[in-house]
Amino acid sequence: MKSLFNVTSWELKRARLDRSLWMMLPAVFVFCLAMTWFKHVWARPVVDGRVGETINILGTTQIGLPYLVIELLLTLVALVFPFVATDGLARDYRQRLHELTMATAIPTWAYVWGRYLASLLINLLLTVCLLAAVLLAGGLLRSFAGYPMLSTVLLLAIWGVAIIPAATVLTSVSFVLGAFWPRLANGLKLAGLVGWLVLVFMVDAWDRGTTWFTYWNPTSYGIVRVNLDSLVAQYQTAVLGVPDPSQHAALALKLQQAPVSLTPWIAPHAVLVLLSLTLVAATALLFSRFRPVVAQS
Amino acid sequence: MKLAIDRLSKRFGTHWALKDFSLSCEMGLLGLVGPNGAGKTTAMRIIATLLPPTTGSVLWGGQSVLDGRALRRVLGYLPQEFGVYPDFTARQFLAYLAAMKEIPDKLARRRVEEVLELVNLERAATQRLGTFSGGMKQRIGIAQALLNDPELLIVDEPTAGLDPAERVHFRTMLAGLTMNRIVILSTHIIGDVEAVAGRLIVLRDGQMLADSTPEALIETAAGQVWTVTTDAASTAELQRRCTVSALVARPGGASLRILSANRPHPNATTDTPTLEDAYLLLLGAMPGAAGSGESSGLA
Repeated sequence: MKSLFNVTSWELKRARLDRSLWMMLPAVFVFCLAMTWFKHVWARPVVDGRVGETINILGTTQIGLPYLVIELLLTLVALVFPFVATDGLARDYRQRLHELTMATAIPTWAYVWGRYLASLLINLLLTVCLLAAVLLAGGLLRSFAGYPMLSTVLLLAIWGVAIIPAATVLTSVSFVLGAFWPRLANGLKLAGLVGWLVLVFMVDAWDRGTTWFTYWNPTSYGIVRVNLDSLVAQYQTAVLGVPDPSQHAALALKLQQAPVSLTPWIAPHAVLVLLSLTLVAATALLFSRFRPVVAQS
Repeated sequence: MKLAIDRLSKRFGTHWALKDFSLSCEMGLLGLVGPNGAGKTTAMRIIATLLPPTTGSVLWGGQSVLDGRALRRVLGYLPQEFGVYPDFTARQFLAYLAAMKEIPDKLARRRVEEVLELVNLERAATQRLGTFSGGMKQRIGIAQALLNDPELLIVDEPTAGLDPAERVHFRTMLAGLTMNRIVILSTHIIGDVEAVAGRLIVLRDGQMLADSTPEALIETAAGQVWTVTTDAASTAELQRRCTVSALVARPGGASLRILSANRPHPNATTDTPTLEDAYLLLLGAMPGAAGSGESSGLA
């Protein structure tokens, strides 16, 4: 375990000295803060209700928080994960450090797992910036604009059920691809980014109603959609008993403050995390210290 | 400890980079020389457990190095080309590699300072590697190879990028390290091996041409090295007909050093051969010379 600790801690030290990390962390924080401040209300059409009617989803309500954190912020912040993780092992290869490291006594498993853990920790640190920005923006919106106070418990639950699994899956897949095809690292980063966007934006085409994909999609888009659909359905029923249109906004706000259940996503996402870790474990077993590098003189 | 290499071969596609390379060595410095593509780096990378052989075996202390870890514990390796983490200081980089070599923390701290001093980088210890010159970077490479006080030290073209004074310093340092270890030095620079190697292996096209001492190799070139000072027309003729290993222009002509089995010019006189002369003759760089290990009887 000392070997594992050595690899992880030295990789984190290397990252700490790398200016790009210190640019990335505040950039993610400021980006999330700005996004939340400027975009925290979404007009949602009530398709089967009165024609043309929309309800406003507020980012600080129970229903709005998953919308804000998952659909808006996680979708964008996750695009950075492949750029961190693909280089976990590929960096040594590209910077021609591979031979120096591989000629040392460090066990292969410790090298692979250590680098993976460092990549994962960095990506999780980025997600902490996201959380901090949302908390701060939520407080500011409460203080200056009278929005409902966001639920810290729900935010942490979203972090645990949606964000951590997303970070783990994307980190693992990117890391493993970079480990086996280090020469293609830059292309693989883009592939990870595109793959993520495909999962996010193409989900509507694949995932109608409630299917297995609603729960197994690592983007957690299902959490947003199922809860919004439920809100709209409740609204459509409840609005029939409220003839005064001026009270509809208050009704929509009241309904969005109903507790959100993330329970159906816990088991599938835990399995996704386990599968990701299994993928890394397989990489640690299959990773070859031999690489056809430098001229064969 | 003893390093025993038995009929080692390595094939890349259809090309044999190394063919039936056998070697047995104990304490001392072994020079590995040969032209580009001779198989030096391939041989060193196989010994350093960085490349699996196609056939053959490498034994360290009687044990196969296929598993690798046992050998890596006592291995110091400086590859021909290597990179660094530009944001690390010299001291941090060495501490990092000491951790990868699994050197206990307290010992690692001491060894880092010792090797920094050994390669004259103690003043640059807190300088970022990204600001290092090529020579300084090479010295940090040498330093990392020595961190674990290796029993087997493999250095591939270690003096590339070093200025003459640094080269001499490094050569002397390397010679001083041969007391309790095997040092394998691969280089293009014959002067480097001549100065420090007790044993010399010459490779060409993946095959061993010679396994000899520098003195014995020089001996084979006796009577085949000539010097002559002549006019411009004869200079051109000699350059066309013979292998000229040195040429100094003089008013109206030139002084030449020629490698030839026969007297190349009526005014030519024999000269004392150097290791470089012997090496060039062995590689068959000279028309009509003994161009193979078989004919020189060395391999």
